[in-house]
Amino acid sequence: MSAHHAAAVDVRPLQNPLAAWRELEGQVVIMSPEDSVLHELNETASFIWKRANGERCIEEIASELSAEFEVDQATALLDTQALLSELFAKRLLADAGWTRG
Amino acid sequence: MPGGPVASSVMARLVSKSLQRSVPLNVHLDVTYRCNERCVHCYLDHRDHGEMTTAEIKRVLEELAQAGAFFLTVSGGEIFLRPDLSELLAHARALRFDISLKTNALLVDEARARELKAVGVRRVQVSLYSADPQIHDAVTKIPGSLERTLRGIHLLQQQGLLVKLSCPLMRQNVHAYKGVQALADALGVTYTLDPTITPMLDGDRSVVDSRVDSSELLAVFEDPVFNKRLDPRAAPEQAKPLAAEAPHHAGAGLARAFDNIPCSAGQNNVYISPYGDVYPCVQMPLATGNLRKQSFREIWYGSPQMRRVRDSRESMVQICGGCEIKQYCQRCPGLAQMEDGDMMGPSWRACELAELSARVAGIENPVSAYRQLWDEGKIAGKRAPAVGGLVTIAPLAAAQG
Repeated sequence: MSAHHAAAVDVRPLQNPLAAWRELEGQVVIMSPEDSVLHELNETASFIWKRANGERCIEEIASELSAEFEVDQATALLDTQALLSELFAKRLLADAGWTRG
Repeated sequence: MPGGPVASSVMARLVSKSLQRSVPLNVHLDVTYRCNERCVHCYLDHRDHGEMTTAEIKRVLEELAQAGAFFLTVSGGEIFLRPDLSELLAHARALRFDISLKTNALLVDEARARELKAVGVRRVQVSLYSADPQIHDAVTKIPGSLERTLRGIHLLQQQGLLVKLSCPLMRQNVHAYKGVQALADALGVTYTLDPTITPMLDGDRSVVDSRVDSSELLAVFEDPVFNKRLDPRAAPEQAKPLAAEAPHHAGAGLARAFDNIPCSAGQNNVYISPYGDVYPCVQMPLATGNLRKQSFREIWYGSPQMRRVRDSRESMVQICGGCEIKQYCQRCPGLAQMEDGDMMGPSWRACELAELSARVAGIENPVSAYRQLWDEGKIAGKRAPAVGGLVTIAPLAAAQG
């Protein structure tokens, strides 16, 4: 899996349990445990991150995103896949339940 | 999708936001004052006056997380003297804190190092006073302590933990800094050298005798190695909707975020003692409340003392306003309080260090505004008092029995 490959919609993304993170005014910051890099998510990316709890699949997260931010489902799905792929490439998501493309 | 362009620094934006909203982003939590070393410069009373229990600290961590605290430094005393340390760290990690530890690493063994890595501790700062065992052990007063500390560092690094050396500079080790630098290079770790030695929390100034004299410190300041920062990581990455950077790249942006704010104490930084006393900073002995009697929110947002610190601005420090070498000054309001009696006044030690820095920068005979007024006899009685102006000289919980 890389940022250039879309994840399957039935994947249930899970935050890397070693990642430290906090939400401040609707925006999430994440400290990468491996390289001490601080990441900042915008509002929609934060929305997705908070739902990457291993319980929802990508399609479900995209549906919630679509409803919350009033974007069409196809756009929401593409954006969700792109973000999660990027987070995975940066090892901010756990390997569990995730298939490398 | 929403999400405008990202500014230059993730950390600067985070800090700026925390300052605007008074979010306690940085927490320094001492879990014990007990220690297995007896360092000559230490400002702590190592007796146990009633440390918070495991349950109490867990509750405090929960309150801190709710208030938005993120960067948690767990320190002491020696943290590994708390038998519940693993449990506390696991709880903090479950609350998604970014954890740094401060330790002398004497008690680090393979199992403990592995445990720290597994729980998700990100960084371990280890106190080290010299690469020469005679000098280091004379500071700690524990024979063989350097050897044990180095073994601990090795075990931490074996687990892939980020280690940083912390070396306070004092009379006893002032010439050892090059050895510390060489050791850090050999280990592939970062290090800090810091000439700040503070009085003990009970006001006892005997430890201040360990401070390096200005003349001797000048030679250190003139050595470029003193300000070297080792951490050659990649430049900040900029991307949307995710921006990222290594925190140390935030320097200039951070300075702008603070603008007229004297320092982070009580703004986005808080210190909590093993007894639950809350202070704006570990170097500012202004007790603002106790977590056994009040919630963190009550103290952080409601304490008059905390609000007084939070409302202070650098422009209120009248003598310093017109100082010609202000740009070289790193006045610490806490130290100004402890040693000069007023957190919003000048700090004699800061003046000395600013004059040294200015001299190193090529300014001839730099004189701080404070010294100038003193020389003119306009501030008689204010210079480096023997007994500092402590607002509270004992931990609240201990004082209240």
